[in-house]
Amino acid sequence: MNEEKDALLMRVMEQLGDQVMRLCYTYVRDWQTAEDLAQETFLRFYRASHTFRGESAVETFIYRIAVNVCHEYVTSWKFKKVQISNVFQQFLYSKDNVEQEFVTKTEQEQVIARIEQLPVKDKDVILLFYYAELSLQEIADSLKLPINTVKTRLRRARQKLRVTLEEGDDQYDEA
Amino acid sequence: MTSMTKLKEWMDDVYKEQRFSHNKKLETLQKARSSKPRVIHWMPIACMLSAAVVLFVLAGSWPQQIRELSISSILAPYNANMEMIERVEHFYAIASDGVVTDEERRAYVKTSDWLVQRALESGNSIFYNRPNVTEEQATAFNEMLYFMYEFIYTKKDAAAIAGQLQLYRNYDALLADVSRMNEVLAPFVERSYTSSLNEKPISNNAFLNAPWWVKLIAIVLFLLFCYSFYVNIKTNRRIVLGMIQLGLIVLLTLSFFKADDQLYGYDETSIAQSMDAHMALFEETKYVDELLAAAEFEGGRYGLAHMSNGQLLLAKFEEEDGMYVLRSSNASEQIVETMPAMDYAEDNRYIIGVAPNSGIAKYELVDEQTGDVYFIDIDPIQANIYQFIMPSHVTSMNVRMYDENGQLQ
Repeated sequence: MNEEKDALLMRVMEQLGDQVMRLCYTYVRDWQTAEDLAQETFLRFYRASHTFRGESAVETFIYRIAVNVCHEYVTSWKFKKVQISNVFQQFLYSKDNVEQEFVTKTEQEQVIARIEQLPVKDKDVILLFYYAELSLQEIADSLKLPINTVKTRLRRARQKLRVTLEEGDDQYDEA
Repeated sequence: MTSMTKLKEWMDDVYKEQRFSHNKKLETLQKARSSKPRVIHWMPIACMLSAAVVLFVLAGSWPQQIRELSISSILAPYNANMEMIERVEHFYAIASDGVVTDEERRAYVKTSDWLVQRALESGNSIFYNRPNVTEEQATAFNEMLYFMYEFIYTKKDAAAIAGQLQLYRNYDALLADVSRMNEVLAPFVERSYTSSLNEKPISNNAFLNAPWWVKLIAIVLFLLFCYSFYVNIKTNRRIVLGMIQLGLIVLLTLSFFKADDQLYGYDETSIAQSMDAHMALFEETKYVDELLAAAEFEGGRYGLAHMSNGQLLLAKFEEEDGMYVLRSSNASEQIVETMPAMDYAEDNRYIIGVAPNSGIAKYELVDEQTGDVYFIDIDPIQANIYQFIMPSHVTSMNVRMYDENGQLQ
């Protein structure tokens, strides 16, 4: 039994380890911390795997845990201390350096940077929909929100990102 | 135009250098294997509960804030059984003819039986010797005193019981007949007799002495704040809110251990001590020298004390949730009076405390409008607390006091 669990854990880490870590990074913007949070995600998955009944894909289950782990971390005092320290350090940078840094980024990096700056609630839906590729219902279940709320937040997040959709992207994939 | 649908592709591309390392995977697997299921540690919980119980018990045994008093060393100069017989004879005298006049009523209810009842049920009185009676007999005597008083005070029809009253030759005859008398009188009295033996506070802890509903609210609030604090710590981590919650928890915790600063009067000692503590609030130099008398009338218990500055102090203890708490006091030289008590629909009541050896034998109130005179006889030697009842239509009056020779004082 334990061997099966161990094997499942390794398989999941191989498949999703990088993605989970990158998702966590968008919340905390520190790779070391993101890796720790990813580890915590898989540990929780391991402990809860006996409760997983296969109602959804393993990926959905993992991403759900990852988002919760990130939420807990960003509301912790430890993270808030780090934030305060970062804000203080930003004052030390000149305005020109910040602007120049932004200009040299590619368009992709700019979009990702904008996503990282979104409020947590908007970031959740953007990442779960576009990165984790969950359906709206799965996102609603993960975040324990009504599906209409998920739609609203998604729309609002995209407006904030000022991204226009290609033809066909207006329709959400409800599956 | 950019497409959000390529977000996954972009993030994987931008962050392609960052990977969940192999070492980290092995470390994760190792941690997963070594992690133990969460267990409830009963030992710390049991220790905390035990500590809480011990603290509560200790809180109950903290030294009282009231100064210890040495009550008069003249122990029980009077006989409770003699007082009992006199009272029954008085009742017989006014009720046996089937009619109780206002003057007779006023004379009967002017004094309280509380001290006698205390002596009978506790055997521990500085005023009265307790006769050799069983607990059952003492209760029966106290009930009889209570029924007689209530019968007269509430103006019941004496004609209904006149034929069943008798005069007793001695104490033993009274003892033999007390149960029968109680059966005769009980139907006329609405409330049953309540002993003051159980009035003593559980402890000197304010929380333990509080009414049950106060305890319930305090405990519910405490648990609520603890739970909300726990949730805040675990999830939201709002510092300001957390500090407010913690402050409220600390305040509530302190309130559980607060000493009870209420001044209770459940027996002669506590009445004297409460009056002493009460005076100390106003002036440290004044203290109770001697408790002279105590009485209980409708809705109030009273203590009369001689103070260190020579004054007489009359204190009123009001009933709250089954306990009598000191609420007001008056001081004077020879005779001290309370404010008129308007709490009885038909009568006005005045409570008067009289010093020992006052020389006053008669206390008279004259209705200024009608000239009607109402009086009670007073013991000129022994200190006592009297209840003066007069009709409620009397709103302005003059006071007159006479000595034993009928001379106006």
